[in-house]
Amino acid sequence: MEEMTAESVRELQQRVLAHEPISEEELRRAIAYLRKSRNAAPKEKAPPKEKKSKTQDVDLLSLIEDLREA
Amino acid sequence: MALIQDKFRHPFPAAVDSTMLHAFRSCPQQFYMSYVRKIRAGGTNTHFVCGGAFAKGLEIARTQYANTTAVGVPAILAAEKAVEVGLLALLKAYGDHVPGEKNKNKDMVNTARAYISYFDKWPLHSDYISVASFQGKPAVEFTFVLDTPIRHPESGMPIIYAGRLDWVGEYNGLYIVMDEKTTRYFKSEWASDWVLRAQFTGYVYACQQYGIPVTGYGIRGTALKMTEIEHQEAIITIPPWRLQRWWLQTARDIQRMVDCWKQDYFDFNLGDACTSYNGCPFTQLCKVEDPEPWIPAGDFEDNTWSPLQKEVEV
Repeated sequence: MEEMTAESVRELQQRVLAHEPISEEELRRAIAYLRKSRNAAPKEKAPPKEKKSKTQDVDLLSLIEDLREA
Repeated sequence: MALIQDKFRHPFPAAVDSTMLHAFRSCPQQFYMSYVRKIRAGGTNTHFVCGGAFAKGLEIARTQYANTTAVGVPAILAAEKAVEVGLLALLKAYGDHVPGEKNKNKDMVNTARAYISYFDKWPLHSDYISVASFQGKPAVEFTFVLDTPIRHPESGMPIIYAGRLDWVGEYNGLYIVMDEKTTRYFKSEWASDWVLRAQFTGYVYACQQYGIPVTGYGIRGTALKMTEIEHQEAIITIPPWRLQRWWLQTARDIQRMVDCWKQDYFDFNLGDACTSYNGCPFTQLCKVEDPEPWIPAGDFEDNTWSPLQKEVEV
């Protein structure tokens, strides 16, 4: 299935404005593109996975300490 | 006293809404130009195009969802189809408008992104605020008119207070008026900024006059940034005394409008109202002694505002 781009969404809109029929499949692809592209920039800046696992380790250590204190 | 208005008396509007009241409260002269003289700055306003298309998409999706689930279509399927139908409505409503560089965040594609993001955040089939139904009909795009105690200066009939609200939601057994707002970004105090907002107090008051036991309102905000879409929500309840105060204040303000019309003089703010938001579109007219000859020469066009038109935050 070919992925849509901003340009293809614009083309789709022109067809909507021209009252041309739009298939459900095209609409779904447009929605998939819009969903994928809405937060494109922040996703690229997301922290690397290693950092996430480090955080989990810290959480686990804190949990062990909490249990010892208890 | 030199009057700035032209000699012909433009009629006083028969109906008033929160947008008109807001304009009058910030600058009576701006109210005069917009709703009595009935002109607006030429060109298309991107904020209105974006906000209008976004609201249209949500409205159609919500109505479609309520209608299809009512006839037994499974919720998740109905929601998926409703989002598609709503997107088509949004694309149509946005039209051919191409925003300038300054407002590119509100172009058609980003408006459509915001719409999809909205339903990812608050899915139709699992939203904790559901669309209320009254007499078997979903309470979406509800229009109201109320007679005020103020008489029209020409007809002698009561001046009407009118409005159109997005939808009525049911939240933990409570009914609340719901409204959507689009913005460029969220200020730090975004949620608390709505607490005293007359527009929504009026919606609650109107619902109660129509026998709908609404106790407050909810605002769902969508920030259309160039790089991401964000959402926030504020839910506010209103005690009865504040509704009464709002009605009294509304009547007093409408009376002041009528007084200005009778005196053929609408006051000037000559302050923050001239420069707030993107600046008042009529400042050029306020800079000249006799603005009327400048109206046809300037970038203005005739515009009759309907109080039942969807209100859009800019």
